[in-house]
Amino acid sequence: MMEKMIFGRYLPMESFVHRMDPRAKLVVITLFIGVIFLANNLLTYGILVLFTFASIFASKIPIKFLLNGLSFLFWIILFTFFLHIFFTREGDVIFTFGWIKIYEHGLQQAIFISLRFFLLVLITSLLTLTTSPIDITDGMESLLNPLKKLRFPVHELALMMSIALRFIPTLMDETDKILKAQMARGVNFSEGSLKKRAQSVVPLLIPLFISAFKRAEELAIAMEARGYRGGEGRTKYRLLKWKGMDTLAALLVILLGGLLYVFRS
Amino acid sequence: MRKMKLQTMIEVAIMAALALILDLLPSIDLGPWISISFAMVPVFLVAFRWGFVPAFVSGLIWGLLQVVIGDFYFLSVIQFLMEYFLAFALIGFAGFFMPVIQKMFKERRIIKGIIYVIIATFVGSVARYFIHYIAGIVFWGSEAPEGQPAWLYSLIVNGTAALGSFLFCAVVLSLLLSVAPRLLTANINAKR
Repeated sequence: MMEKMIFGRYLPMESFVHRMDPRAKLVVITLFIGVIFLANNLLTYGILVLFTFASIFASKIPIKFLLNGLSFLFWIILFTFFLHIFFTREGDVIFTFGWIKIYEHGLQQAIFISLRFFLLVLITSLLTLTTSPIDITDGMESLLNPLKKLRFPVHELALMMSIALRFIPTLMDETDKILKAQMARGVNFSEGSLKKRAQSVVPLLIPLFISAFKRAEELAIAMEARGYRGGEGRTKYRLLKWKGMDTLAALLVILLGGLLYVFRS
Repeated sequence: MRKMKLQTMIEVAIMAALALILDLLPSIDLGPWISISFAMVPVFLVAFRWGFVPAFVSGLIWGLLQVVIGDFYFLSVIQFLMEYFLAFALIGFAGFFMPVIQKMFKERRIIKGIIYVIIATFVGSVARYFIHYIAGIVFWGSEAPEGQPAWLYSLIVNGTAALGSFLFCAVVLSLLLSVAPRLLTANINAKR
């Protein structure tokens, strides 16, 4: 049951975007999200589309993969599109059918806003497709480091994230094993009323929780026995390295912002 | 959080991971954006074992995990921050009932304990979906044309999801804790 579920979206490949420092990718995406709202006409949206598809091309991720699993988004985009097309009543009427009137401004808004969602989702998916979860965590920790001065527990949060990510495959295996054991006894997890399903879930959860608590205790003992005492002076196994191309990528987004600012109406 | 013991921190992390995994199990789907699952159960368990702050952090880690593995939708800055950083963390409000639940189960007043568990589950679910509700209004409010009742869409979608998830989690937790009350206390005194 579990093996059918695709877990995480990271696609390990060899490309410019994959090699970038996770911090650079986070910075680029944050800038991009700010910049995207500058676009307001055909030319500026065109530049944005070009930039987005150039990034996708540079990452060598197949488009089909990117679009996978965006069905929820598809509904939102469709819904927004129709909301705008039917309910914005500005500009000239360009199409009439019975009581339905489509206005020029409505059509334009519908297209631009749907396009903006689409680009936002593509760019943010690109991050998780080209960067492993643990790299994103390291990048976030490093970028949030200044907050340590405000006594924000950056190190503790990053530690918990790493532990959680480390245990996801282990816990998944365990869940799978217990699921199969229960299914062999005739339990049905995917059908039945709410009460029936709740009942079927209990024999799955009890062993899962008990072993999770045990793991937590054992790991705590193991870490303390090795002298773990929090963030101060702790060295890292995985080191992040900011390279020339990371600076280049950040400059490119700033350039994109400049272009949009010049050409927006 | 600096005062949080290492064992609590690790448990919080593992429970968040478990929540993420349980979310992948078949859920009851009502349309493309309403799904009812019992994935919140591990976070509630943290709430009943350790209280508000650990449960809050556990929810936060769960939200962050979704972001990090790419299981999220970025539609606008406010929607993203609210739905993935705040909403899951607020499940932690169930943790305010920790002392009374612990006391009831310690005195073996299981029925009363379970009533408090259900109340706490309600509070946690409402807190989480209230944020989804507000995020929905803010998001649709800014994107939908004038005159569209954003609060109504959001209420229908999030209200249904909140009620369904609350019921599912409450039933699972009551069954779970009446069969295995030791889940509330297992290893809990090992290292204070």
